[in-house]
Amino acid sequence: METLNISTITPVYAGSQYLEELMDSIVKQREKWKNDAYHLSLKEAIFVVDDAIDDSIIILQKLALKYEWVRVINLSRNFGQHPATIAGILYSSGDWIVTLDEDLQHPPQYIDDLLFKVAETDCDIVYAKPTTSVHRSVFRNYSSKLYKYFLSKISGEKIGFFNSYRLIRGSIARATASVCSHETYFDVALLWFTQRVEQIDMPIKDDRNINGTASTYTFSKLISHAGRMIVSTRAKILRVGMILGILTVTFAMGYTIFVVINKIIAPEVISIEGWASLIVCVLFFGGVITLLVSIILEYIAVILLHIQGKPTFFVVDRSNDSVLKNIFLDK
Amino acid sequence: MLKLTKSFSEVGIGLSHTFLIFGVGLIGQAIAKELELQDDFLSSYKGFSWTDPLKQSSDFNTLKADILNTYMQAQKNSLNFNRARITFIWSAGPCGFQSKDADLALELVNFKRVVNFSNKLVELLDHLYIDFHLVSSSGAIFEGQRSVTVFNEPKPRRPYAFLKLEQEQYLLDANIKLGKCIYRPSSVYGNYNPLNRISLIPIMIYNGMRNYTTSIFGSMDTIRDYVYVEDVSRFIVRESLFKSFSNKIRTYVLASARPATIMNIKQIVESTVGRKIYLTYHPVPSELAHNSFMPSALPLNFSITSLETCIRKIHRNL
Repeated sequence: METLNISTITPVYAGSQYLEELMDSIVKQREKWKNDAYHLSLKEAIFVVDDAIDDSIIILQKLALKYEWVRVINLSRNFGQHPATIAGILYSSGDWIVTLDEDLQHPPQYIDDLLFKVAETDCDIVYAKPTTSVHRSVFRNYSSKLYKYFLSKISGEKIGFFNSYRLIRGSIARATASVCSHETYFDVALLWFTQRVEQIDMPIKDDRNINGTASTYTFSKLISHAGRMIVSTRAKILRVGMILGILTVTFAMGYTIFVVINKIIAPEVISIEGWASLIVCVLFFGGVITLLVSIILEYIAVILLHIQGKPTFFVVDRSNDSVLKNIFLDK
Repeated sequence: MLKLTKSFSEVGIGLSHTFLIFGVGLIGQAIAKELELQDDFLSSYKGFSWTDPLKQSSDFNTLKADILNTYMQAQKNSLNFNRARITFIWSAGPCGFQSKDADLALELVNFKRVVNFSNKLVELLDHLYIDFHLVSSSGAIFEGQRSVTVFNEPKPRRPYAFLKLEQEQYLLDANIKLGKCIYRPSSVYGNYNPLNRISLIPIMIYNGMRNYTTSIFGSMDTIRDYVYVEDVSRFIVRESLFKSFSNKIRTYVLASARPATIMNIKQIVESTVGRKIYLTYHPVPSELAHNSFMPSALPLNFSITSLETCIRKIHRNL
């Protein structure tokens, strides 16, 4: 039976106190797959240092000397978690890619559960679904959920599933990372390539945040994160604008007819001279302008998707999934 | 075959270094250019028949006479000539991944003759430093292996890979006094030159600029490691100029350690060229194998230029 290669990707910004422990967990998982005669191999653990503010780089360089399968990528400046993840993916070559946070929020021992879900459902992406509140702040928990719910509704995509602990089919992850521009929300772009997305309950939480250590996500970073999500789903939002435009024109035309008929049949109803012609002009030109703007928005939506690299098609090979079925379902 | 020579003196000691580059293709040309740029070497093309054994034998004799003459002349001008060096570089022959058995056999025979010639020179001029540098291919010998580290063993899949391993072994078994260095570059790419074998990246740029369609023998997600020819040539020149391999054997994997899919390359080329790139895919099973390398497999002083920068350079030179 063929062996599947797994790559882990961890963006690093301020995780020096967690990295060794995280590495121990990754090593344990790697050994487990070796010992249990799984046909799985953790081929590479990629750490993307996003201009870390602590001595993470020194720790990682030591780890890279100790383990030849550890790869450290040093970004020239702080680009943020998503660009760092994208960089890591572009340096990976595994059949499956797992993205992990630096602070042990995502224990590597749960990777088996993610793989099990793939074996069970033939999906391309599995997100972890925290069973408890991830953050200490109730406001942050609920605002995040509400925001994702709102975007899911207007975009029609499974945005509510998004979590940074995810397992992605390697080919899809690399293709997505290839097309992402700096304003593309990576998880939204993943949905351009596949609709086979699943979620699995997991007892994960942000210990760093819960224990009182400041989160590396400031309020402004969260806003920019949310903004990127909107930009990436903008196409659908722009279509909502077009529908609004058409509705406005329809209403304007209907109301114009109503006003004109009123003026002819019962002119006494409109007591102010010139009101009817004024309102007809406003409604007509307002409607035409709204319609034209909505058509321009539609053009922008098409250009935006083109710039963001939404593919016309993508070919995927799922033939290796039988290995996962053999490992997880036949046992 | 290309001969590059440099004679100079340092604190009264006559010094000389001669490079003999066999196979002046993409890598050979880049090495010659690097030598000319870096160290004022003077190059001259020498006749070397690849197909006619008699002509080849005569070419070897001419070359030997030429080398002996150079050293006799130089020795007249200097008392101490111990630091003179000859460096043989086999920078890949005419064969490639798709080569047939007959072509591979011919390349092997030619390679063995060149190694034998270097052995003879070692015996004849035993006071000189003579090194042999072989450009092998990690793309071939590690084909189908991902995240290759120093612990990976070559697993040849196609005749070309067996040829490369046989060449390596033949060199390793050669005269012990001969310095030996083996370079294993991954998929090497450089400027578009229709006279050389053209690799995927330059052809994609060339065709993209002309709205031509490029045929890909692989799939969108086939992973390869592409290394820029100037990175490879710079490393080889530095090793061959500044290190002595006398009685030593060294093997280096020269890769970018940055795996790239066809789709990834297409995306970078599209943004560089500013046009849509048209591709047709021919997913031949033998060409679908992935190949990637870990940084730990590379020599410490091997510097890599990013894929994006190199693609821009190739585009600018077209």
